[in-house]
Amino acid sequence: MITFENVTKIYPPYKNKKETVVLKEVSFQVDKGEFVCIAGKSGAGKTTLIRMITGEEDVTEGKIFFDGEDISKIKRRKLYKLRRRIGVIFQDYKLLCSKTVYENIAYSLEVTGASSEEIEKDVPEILDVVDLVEKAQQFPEQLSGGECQRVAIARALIHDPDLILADEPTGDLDPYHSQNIVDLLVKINKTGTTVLLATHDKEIVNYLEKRVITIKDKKITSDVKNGRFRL
Amino acid sequence: MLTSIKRSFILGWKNFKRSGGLSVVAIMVLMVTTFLATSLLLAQEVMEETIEEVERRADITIYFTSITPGDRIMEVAENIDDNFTLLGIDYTSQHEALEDFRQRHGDNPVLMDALDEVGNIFNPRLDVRATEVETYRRVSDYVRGNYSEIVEEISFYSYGRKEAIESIFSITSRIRRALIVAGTILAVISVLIVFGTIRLSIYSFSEEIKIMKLVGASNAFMQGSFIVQGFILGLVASLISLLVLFGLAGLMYQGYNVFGINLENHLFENLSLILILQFSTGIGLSVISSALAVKRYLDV
Repeated sequence: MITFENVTKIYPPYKNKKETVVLKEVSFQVDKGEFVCIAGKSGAGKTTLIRMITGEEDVTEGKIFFDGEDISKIKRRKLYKLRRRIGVIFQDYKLLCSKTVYENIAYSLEVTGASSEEIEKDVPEILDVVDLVEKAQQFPEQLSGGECQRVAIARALIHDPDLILADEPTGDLDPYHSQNIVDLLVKINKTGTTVLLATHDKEIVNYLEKRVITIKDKKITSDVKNGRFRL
Repeated sequence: MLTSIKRSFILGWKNFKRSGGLSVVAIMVLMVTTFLATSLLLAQEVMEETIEEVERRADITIYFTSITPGDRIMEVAENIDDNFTLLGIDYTSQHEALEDFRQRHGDNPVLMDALDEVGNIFNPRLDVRATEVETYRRVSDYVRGNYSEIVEEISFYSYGRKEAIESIFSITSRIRRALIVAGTILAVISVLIVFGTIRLSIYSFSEEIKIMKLVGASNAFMQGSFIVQGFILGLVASLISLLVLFGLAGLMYQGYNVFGINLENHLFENLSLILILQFSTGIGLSVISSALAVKRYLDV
């Protein structure tokens, strides 16, 4: 489903800083229905890797394919078609401040042209899954970090995407909710959805016992099935 | 498609409501601009009529000898009218001139006694009104060249009339130019201010626009909701501006006239033009500004 071919990402020089190499000649493949953990320290390039899959960041060298289509060849104004097939759980939530919890989640369905009946049925269901039914009419600024994270998760899942990109989805969650979210991702994966989980949380990686790709010093240092967290 | 349009309207309305202070500021700026646009148009028309009125008063008079028959003078009038572009030409007979004088100075016994003593000293005349000082010059030359035997005097050449007319036309021409320049400058400044305000209003949404794009919103869907928001801003601003305009016109109702032009009547006579101008300026500016401003943030 996703193929990285010798992907290098270099941020150009900015002000007095030199150019920054984030990823160098990274190659790997993720098959449909797989659950893959991308492990690495903070700043290893996990978030950049995810942003390149959604087309938010351009690739400096190499190619990324999504279902055989070269992402760098997709025009910016057409990227929405790719993004509608992906559910992203952002590390910094990226919630719409001017919209309520309900509206934030519903927005992902609205842009796809889903019917109002569908939205009215699905949004309460996902709110129930992430335990936020009572917060439906509140705005993000009225929520705790953990609650915001759960809204972001609900929004990523609501439109039943082919691929879920989760960037540190349990970063702000307590152990109880972390476990719930990880179990939820596993459950979704079992329905056939591909999951790419970027995390530096050793316990989660070890608990999952899924394929683990480790990034260190800008490169992939290991790619192990049923792997464990190892830096 | 229909669902997307409907959602764009709903999202646009929600954006408008939730923008609060920024919406109010945008409406105020738009309101001032639409009000200014309409006021400029009306001022231009009032000034134009005023200028024309002043120019109408800068006429010339051709005095004929007292023995010239009325038919002959009418013939001259027709020839002048055929050969030149005029605002008007009026014939006043010797008798009418006397009656006119009596009416104006009837309360002055000294003048009336003197008039009784000397009889009708007035000459028949033609009053000629044109729009250009050059026309006056050409009419005067034409009359002097063709009818010198019956013409006693042409006011264009006497009493400093020529200089006065040239001076009036020079001033009105400058006023016209100044009005066009001032109007253009004000219009450009207003458009820039509106664009800046709308851009600022949409800038506050820039982060949200980025997020919306990342969760799969298309450019058309994004622009749709902001164009609707711009439409609402423009519509509200135009309506308020219209109320203010007619409110002010109502205050002027107490017979405020400039050279015979009633401002309130002027408003109602030009109602359709004003409505078109108000709504096209308010809504058009706002929608175009919104579409251009949101475009800057769509490249995600």
